[in-house]
Amino acid sequence: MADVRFIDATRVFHGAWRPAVDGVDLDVRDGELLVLTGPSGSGKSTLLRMLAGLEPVDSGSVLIGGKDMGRTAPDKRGVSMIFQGFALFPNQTIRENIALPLTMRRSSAKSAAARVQQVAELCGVAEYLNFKPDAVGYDVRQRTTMARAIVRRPDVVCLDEPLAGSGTPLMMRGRSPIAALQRELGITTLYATCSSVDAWSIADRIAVLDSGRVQQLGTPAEVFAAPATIAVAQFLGEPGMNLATAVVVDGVARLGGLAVPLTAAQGAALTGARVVVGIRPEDLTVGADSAEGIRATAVLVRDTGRDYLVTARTVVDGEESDLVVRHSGGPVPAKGESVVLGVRAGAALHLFDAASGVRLPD
Amino acid sequence: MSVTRPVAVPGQVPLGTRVAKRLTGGALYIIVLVVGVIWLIPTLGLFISSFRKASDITGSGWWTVFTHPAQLTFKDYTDVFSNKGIIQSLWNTVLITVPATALVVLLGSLAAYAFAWIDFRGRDWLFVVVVGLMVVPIQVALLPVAALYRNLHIFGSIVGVVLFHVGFGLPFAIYLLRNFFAAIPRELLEATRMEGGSEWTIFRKVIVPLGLPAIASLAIFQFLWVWNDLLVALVFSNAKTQPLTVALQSNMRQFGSNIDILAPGAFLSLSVPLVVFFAFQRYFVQGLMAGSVKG
Repeated sequence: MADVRFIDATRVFHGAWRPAVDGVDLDVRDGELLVLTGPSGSGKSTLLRMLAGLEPVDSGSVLIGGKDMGRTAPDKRGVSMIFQGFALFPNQTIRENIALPLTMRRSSAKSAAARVQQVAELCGVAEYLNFKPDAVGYDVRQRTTMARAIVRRPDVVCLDEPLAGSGTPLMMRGRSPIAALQRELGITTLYATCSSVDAWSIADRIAVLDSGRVQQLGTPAEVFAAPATIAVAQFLGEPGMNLATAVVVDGVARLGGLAVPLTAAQGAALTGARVVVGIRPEDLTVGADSAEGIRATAVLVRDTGRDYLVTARTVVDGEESDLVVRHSGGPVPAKGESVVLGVRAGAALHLFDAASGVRLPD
Repeated sequence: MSVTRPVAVPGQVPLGTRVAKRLTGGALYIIVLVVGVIWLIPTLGLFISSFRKASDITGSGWWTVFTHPAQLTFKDYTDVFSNKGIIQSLWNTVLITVPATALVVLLGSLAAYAFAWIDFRGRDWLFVVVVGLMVVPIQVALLPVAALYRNLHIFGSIVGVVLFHVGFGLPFAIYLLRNFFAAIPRELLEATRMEGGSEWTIFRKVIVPLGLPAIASLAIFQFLWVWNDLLVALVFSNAKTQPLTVALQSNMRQFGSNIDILAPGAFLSLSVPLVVFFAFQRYFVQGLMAGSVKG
């Protein structure tokens, strides 16, 4: 078991216009499940590959258990990796696939066989050991990759988009065994995923990456409640946060008829400036009092099964923007209908600097 | 030269489509069968002739065996098998074909792995050069290589013939295998590297097993080309090192030929490729599609 530290870790691909990973500082605690999330191309896979030793660290350093990995070979780091698409050998049985890390290390056949059996039982694939990967279901293949990842008792397991390309129902089935197994074994785990739903359903903490930098690190609840940047606000949530630009006048940011009160310090600093107001779709309502709401036109109504997602187009200061409302009670507006959007009582509003995209201090 | 392309007239099915529609099903099979039979008739004639005496062959057509089956004899075959020159040349064919195939498969797959998966400076340019070499016809190289061999004192030796075949087999081998190897998922290579696999281990444990269909089909193609080759052996071998194809060719003369050696000898030469083809048919088809289908 070990903790993981990235110190100013940077990776620049040959011919790239910006670093894939740009000066990342990140501490992963021993036994923690850290989810790395962010849009594709944000550098989360590269970060994992640098930890695993599949990508060089161009500057900065990567430490595992306090030791600088520098040029340590991938197999000497105590890191195992679960790849996108699972990377099972189609020409080998599930048993041979799980045993690969042991056979590559020339373990004795007897101890290897016992260990494979033990791990296969732990991961629930013991009855499939003699099948080839093509002959078993998606679930079993996924469990097999987990078994292969833990069979050599690694200190750290990296999962690189292991669920990408699977349908949603499979994802829901697939996510839990990873979390359960991780808890049981207490292996430090880094899990890279594009899906923000994945991120907070299993993570101890999440790190949101964008453009090769860590935008925010915290528990899922912390990050969801107070996104540090516009990028994080947009990325987390299903759908992401609504953002609209407003001008601050007399300590109040005005968004149509909606007045967002600022603190005294904010109001003093920002009068006349433009801020970005963020409102979660869950915090908006349809059918507010017209004097204090945002006038808009419903342009799209989607039925999610549980509730409705209403996309409403509004014009603020001559600028068109679309706001999404998660609408659960009351009459559902029809497409093209004029609506007035209000903010739910007690809802959190998020303010960001329009230029830098950074969250404004409260 | 201008190329006229079929123009689709609105409301009218293009000619090609109509022909294709007519041809599918029974009619197509009949046409294929007829063409195949016509194609096979000379071979059948040769095959029957190999079981007739030389005097019968020169006296009457091979089809007369159907009315006079008494002509059939194994004498030609027993003669050929006791002919030292023919047996030596058959042995030479094996000595040329086996190393020429093994070397092309070995060197070609190693080079293809490097071109597909190892990042080195100038890799893409080098690959373009290698692929470009495929367009060089064998004929233009005969004279320069002959001069080179004379300097190296391997002119007329089996080594020279083998090296020529290897040199001209490699560009296609590398091209075919590189495309196939490049389609192997990167994650499989990296999973092996994560467990301490060296390039050599990855080649042996990942590339060779997963690239086997392409490697096998390449081996078959190369084997057949070299086995059936006449031109290269005619130039670079001598009376002692000549393969079967050259030995048989030397039994053909402008006015007549030693048909009693030629017919069974040709069948001897033909039988090995036939066995190889039927034994590895599956790989032939896979190999022809190699590179075109990813997966």
